[in-house]
Amino acid sequence: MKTSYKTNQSQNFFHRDKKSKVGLSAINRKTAWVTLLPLFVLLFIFLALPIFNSIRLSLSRWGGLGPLEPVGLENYKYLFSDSQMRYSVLVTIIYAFAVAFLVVALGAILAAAVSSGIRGHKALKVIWFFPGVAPPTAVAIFWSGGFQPEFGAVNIFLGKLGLGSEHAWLASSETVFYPAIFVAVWAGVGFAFLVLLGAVEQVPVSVREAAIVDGANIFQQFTKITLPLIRPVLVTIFTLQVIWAFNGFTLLWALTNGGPADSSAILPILAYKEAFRYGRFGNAAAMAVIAGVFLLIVGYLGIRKSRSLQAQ
Amino acid sequence: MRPTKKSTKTNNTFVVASVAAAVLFSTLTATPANANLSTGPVTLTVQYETSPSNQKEWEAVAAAFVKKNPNVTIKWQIITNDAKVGPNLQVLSSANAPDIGLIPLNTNVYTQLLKGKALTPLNGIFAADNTVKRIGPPAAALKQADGNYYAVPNTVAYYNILWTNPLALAKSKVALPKDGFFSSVNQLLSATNACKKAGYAGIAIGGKTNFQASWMFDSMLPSAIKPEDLVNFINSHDASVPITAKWTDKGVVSTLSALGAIAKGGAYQKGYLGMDLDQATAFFTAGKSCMLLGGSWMPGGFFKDETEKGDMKFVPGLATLPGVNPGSKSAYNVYYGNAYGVPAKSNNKDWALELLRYYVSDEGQTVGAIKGGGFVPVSNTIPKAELAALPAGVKLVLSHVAKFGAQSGWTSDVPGAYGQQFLNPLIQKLQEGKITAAEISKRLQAELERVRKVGL
Repeated sequence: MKTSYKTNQSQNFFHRDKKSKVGLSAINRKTAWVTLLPLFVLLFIFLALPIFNSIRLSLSRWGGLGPLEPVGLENYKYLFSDSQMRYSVLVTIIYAFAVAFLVVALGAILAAAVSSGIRGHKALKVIWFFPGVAPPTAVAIFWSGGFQPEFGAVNIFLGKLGLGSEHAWLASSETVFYPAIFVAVWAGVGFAFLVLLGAVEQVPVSVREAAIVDGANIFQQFTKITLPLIRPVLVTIFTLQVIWAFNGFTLLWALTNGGPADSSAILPILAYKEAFRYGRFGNAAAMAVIAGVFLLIVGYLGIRKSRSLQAQ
Repeated sequence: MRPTKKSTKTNNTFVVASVAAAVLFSTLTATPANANLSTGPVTLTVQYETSPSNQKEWEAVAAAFVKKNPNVTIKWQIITNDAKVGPNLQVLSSANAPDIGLIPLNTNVYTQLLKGKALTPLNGIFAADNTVKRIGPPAAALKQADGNYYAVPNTVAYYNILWTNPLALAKSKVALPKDGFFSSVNQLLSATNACKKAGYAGIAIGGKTNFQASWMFDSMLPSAIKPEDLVNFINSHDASVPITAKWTDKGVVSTLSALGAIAKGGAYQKGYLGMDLDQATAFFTAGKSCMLLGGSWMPGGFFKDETEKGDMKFVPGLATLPGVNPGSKSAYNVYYGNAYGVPAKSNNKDWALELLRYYVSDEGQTVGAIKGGGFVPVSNTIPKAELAALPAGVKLVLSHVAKFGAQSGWTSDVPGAYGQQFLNPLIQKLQEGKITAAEISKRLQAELERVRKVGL
């Protein structure tokens, strides 16, 4: 009943509810609207207007200057018939989910390790967070050199291990996503680790102690106790990581330029090229609208799942 | 000594006359060529592409210009290669546009700025100082249908030069063919294979960049088609020009096949499709490859810097890509498209035009292009003695061009959305073996027909 009362309260915040007596008086309601008005104006200017303009642009032909030329759904028809667009949608989704999964998995493992008080855990907290602070362009330039065959640091290291020093992952459309995903995970895991560490440390010590008394080993404690209890945070972080990787233009652009041969052109890169290289801003806006709708669905499902897990 | 009355009067007259002369002199020297220019303080914002050579060039021009016009201050807006071919359009058309903008002619930026009438006519610059004659054919190409000029070329850039490392070639026992002309793809591949056997890469290229994969097409295509066909390929994106040459013609397919064969034959360094031009250049200057596909701006820039640091331990020589058909020769390509213009929304148009006039004058080109950046100047009336200041490598290129000529490049001359930006990913695919030459030629023909129908 407590839950239903809260829902009721939030739903009726701006309405007089004589029975429950939780509504605001007319004066208070006016005050609330007036104080919220600047927020609504800002939301309109910085959210609603750009969205409206993007949709309008997606229904037009525009080269970057001058008036828009309305073309109806032509841009969308073109995109759905374009093989590069279909390819980009597919690889964007694979890339985003792969990065998000690995970031969350690695972040959870690192958080559990630090939380368990392994040797040097205080220093490790800083070290693991450090890559997340570096600017994405600097990260990409650093790793772009690192992955070069023969003289790249990664290849030199592998060469010393006897695993060959001539791997040219960035130069092949078959392998370009391996280093790309590695770098995105390397750069993203710090944030996930820090948030998940907070969640892991919220797990009651008594629950863990009870598990130890019951004979659970470290692996079982992690999989049966820690992970289930931090699931709402895991889902939230996973959702955020999917959205960030999906929109991860800077890192991939600096690392691969979307190549070779557009093989690593995720949707934002393709949209950038459509707009600024080919002067087809309408197509680019249509891509942005499609991507926006997809991410809205991902975000909605993520929030819903996280809330339902919290309620459990 | 105490002066007498007479001598005091004489002295006063002398002082007054001196001051008047000094004021007149300083006024005259500070007065710009255009009498309408304001003499109050002016701050000009100038764009250039990030590179040490460009920086040296513009700083030299600015120093000389400010010396003549002390009321002018020049600020820089340095942009990347990525920005200059795309997002710079929004900057140049904004209310906060720089006074002089970098406008590559083969990009959507120039196409859209012309369409949107967002550039100031530069007719005064072309009328002054005999500029049209001094610049030559590029000036004629810059004249638009409305009779106006909207951009001035900055320097002459020759590209598709195969810079060679004589030490690596000697160790690989590769003797360059006469005058550096490889007679066939096979001859080039046998040289690069010999380099590989000796532990060097053959040709270093920046396959990841948005232009270099398609460069060689510019050099080799003219060796496989008739000159009039090349002219038609350069102009036929304009729907008013009839199509007399098709992309599906045999010569085009042969050229693309030759590019595929060079890649398949392992002529380039390992991982070239993941390297940009700077990385490839560093690879070459470090002595790891026998050759580098580059341009005439390199000796005054990267080569000079690396030599001074002691990292480049050889003096590079020259070679030329092979022709496609037996007995044919390819040539270096000439590019003057990294042009400058004055945005219509510039706040200091008169002074911007004056600076641009000076920049492209013989004096400006000598001070900036030759002595500052080590570039080939765009003016052809600069005394030969001044050209002696160019880096040795650039002089080598100039003597090669004087003997064998240079030619227009298709990707340099047509708008990028149809040319370079369209072709480059396709050539990368060809180099990866994921598309055939015939398929690319069909895609080019389809794109040509689309562009003629709906425009750029």
